[in-house]
Amino acid sequence: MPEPSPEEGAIVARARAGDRDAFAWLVDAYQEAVRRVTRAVLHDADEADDAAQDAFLSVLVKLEQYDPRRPFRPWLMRIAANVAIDRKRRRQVRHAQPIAVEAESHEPSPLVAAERSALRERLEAALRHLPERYRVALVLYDVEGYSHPEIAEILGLPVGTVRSAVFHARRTLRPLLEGWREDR
Amino acid sequence: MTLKLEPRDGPPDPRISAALRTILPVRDRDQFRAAVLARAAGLRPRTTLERWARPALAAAATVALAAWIAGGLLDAPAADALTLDGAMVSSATGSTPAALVIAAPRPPDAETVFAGMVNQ
Repeated sequence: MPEPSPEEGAIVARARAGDRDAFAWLVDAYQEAVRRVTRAVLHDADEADDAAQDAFLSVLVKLEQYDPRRPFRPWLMRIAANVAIDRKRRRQVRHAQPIAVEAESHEPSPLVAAERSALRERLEAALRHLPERYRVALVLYDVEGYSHPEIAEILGLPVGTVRSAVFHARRTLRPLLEGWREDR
Repeated sequence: MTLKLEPRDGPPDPRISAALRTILPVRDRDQFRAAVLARAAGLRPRTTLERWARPALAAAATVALAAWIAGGLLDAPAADALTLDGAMVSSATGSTPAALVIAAPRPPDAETVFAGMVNQ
């Protein structure tokens, strides 16, 4: 897990007391992790961002229930994961939405673009077919840097289940990453 | 300090991390922040003062209710005691029950009203 900022506790306390600037700081600091987790659950970028917004608002409402003796980030991530999972369940009841295809933010060469697009599609498909807990556990472990016990606490799962989820998710994705370069 | 590594534990895989960051991109940070704060403006976290206000109001209401009940018991006039209002009603109507009804601190008893009407 990333090193906690020494000022984090004080900022959480200020947000808890109603300081909007402190809350804005928390949004800035943690939006990437929260949005990535909601995206891992929901796939669709817009819906995932809506869920991430809901998660921050839920945090704002629940801040008075937060125990300052416990680390803030796992608490926040647990709320984000739960909000996204709830939203996905409601969506499945309402209707099935197609997965949006991300537009590229810049124009690579046609060959690179085609290769990147194909790899991306394979990865997205592989990720989509993973069980939900595998996806979230993988993102929390390999992108956000949480440990297995921390992820277990966030997702409310046994540590062994989390360890297994990360292992199987990695084993699914690794064959697709042959030839992957980090500058993609 | 000894670092204990359990089976299958390992550092984050940079390739998987990079791939996930690519297929799960986070864009428009400022726009997202603005959207959250705009929605948050409609919510207001309860400050410490506000958290205290609710039990304080409940306590104040309880004290007021207790005082009202105790005051009602202490201040209840004797049945035969006539107030100025009662005396005026009695002299105008010649009816003692009517005077009692007017002077009573509580709603009139139906039997008293009915008895007064029968006597009239």
